[in-house]
Amino acid sequence: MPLKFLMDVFHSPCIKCKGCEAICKNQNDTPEGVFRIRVVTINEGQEGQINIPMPCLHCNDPPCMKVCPTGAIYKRSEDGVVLVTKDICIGCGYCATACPFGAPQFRAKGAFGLDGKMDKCTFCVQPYNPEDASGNEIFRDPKSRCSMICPTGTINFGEQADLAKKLRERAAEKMAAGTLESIFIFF
Amino acid sequence: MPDYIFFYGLGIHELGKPWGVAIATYLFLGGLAGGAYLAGYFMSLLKTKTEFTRSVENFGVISSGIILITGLMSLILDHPNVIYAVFNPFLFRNLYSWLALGSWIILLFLLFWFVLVMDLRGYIKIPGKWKLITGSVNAFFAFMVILYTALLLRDARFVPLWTSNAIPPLFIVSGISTGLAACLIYGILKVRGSDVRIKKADVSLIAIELLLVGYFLWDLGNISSSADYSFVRAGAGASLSFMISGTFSTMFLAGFVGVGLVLPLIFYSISFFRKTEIVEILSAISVLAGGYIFRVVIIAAAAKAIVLP
Repeated sequence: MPLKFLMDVFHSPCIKCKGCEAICKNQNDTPEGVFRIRVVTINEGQEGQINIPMPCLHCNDPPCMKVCPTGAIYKRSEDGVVLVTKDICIGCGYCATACPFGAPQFRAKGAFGLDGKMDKCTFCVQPYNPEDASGNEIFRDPKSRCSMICPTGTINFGEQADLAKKLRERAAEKMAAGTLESIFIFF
Repeated sequence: MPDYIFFYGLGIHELGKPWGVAIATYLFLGGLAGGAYLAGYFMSLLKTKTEFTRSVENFGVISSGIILITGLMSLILDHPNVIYAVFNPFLFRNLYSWLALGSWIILLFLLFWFVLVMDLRGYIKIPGKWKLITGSVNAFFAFMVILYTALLLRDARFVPLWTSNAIPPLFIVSGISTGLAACLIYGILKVRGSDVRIKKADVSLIAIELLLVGYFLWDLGNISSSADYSFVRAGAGASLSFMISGTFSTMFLAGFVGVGLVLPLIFYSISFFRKTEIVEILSAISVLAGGYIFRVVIIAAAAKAIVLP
């Protein structure tokens, strides 16, 4: 079953504590300027302001994977996690133009150019440097730390079917109470 | 609820990595290279040849590869890791990506170009019939190089500006027009003369370009008002307002439309009645400047909105 994020920003609003950004950096050792998850604000300072945590959403048909010229981006068949083979990434930035969520990240490096290798959320499967001291590629169990630390339950992580069930239950609760605003779901 | 807009290009961006002036330069030089080659190729097909057409023919072919390599240098300066792919082209193996396909097209173009330049410089001798075949095959690759610079952008389907149907024909017409302009400048400086056929061809291309610009703005307006998804409407609307009344309106309206299209039309018109080299050179320089500004605006004004249900 594919693993997914569910960003339920209407039923459990994000308060922009940025705990997700902090724990992600801590867990994955991302360098300065690289954010595997970032909280963005819509309508800031106006009525209807809303905060949305934005990680990679591990699309079913990832546009970044389609455009990557070297085939460095791939989707694991067993759990649907989208990963990057950094060895063959050439840092062209094409994935960043193709992604609708701004997930691909590149580290700035001096006046010209960038560090080259694309980095993005991996459901905490791989840290920023995906190799251990002996040069073997690291593959941890997919377990997103951002969803664990999220205090309001905005970020939910799990199997797609479980998340859909969870959302339906929440929506039914709100509907019964007459407070259902909208369903906002990122799969 | 207004959609959250991500801006790309020239440093205005929220998430991810922008493509900036270096990429615009790469796209411009790619189009110019293809255009210069095609201009040289068409000169070689002319039955009535003059000293001017012969010099332009050689210049178009020889300069095209040099211009393209300069464009690649611009790309590598901005994205240094691309150099690994230059040494190992087989990294470009995802042929569903226009970036990979385009790289192979560029490689093939440069291979044929190298053979043709060796022949022009007298290092090898290609028999007449085979020379025509080689030149024609490379004319196809030159056309594909120009087209690739547009389709490269079109693959980013969440940037509504780049998915407009007007972008590929605009890039093709602009590429050939700039190539002709570069050849015209060289011809005038080299043989102190010009060819009215080149000027007529460039005027026709500029007129077509003006029509395509109108279609482009109409198409973008149409997308911003009637696309199925709100994030597409928001992105297209942001790009359109950028170009018409916002940050990049001066570049687009005065730079591209004014300097790049209207001014050369006026200059060329003057040169038909009153032959002055300086006016012809100015018109060709305007075309080149306009072509470059156009690419910069297309990269700079690219906006995309967060996908909301």
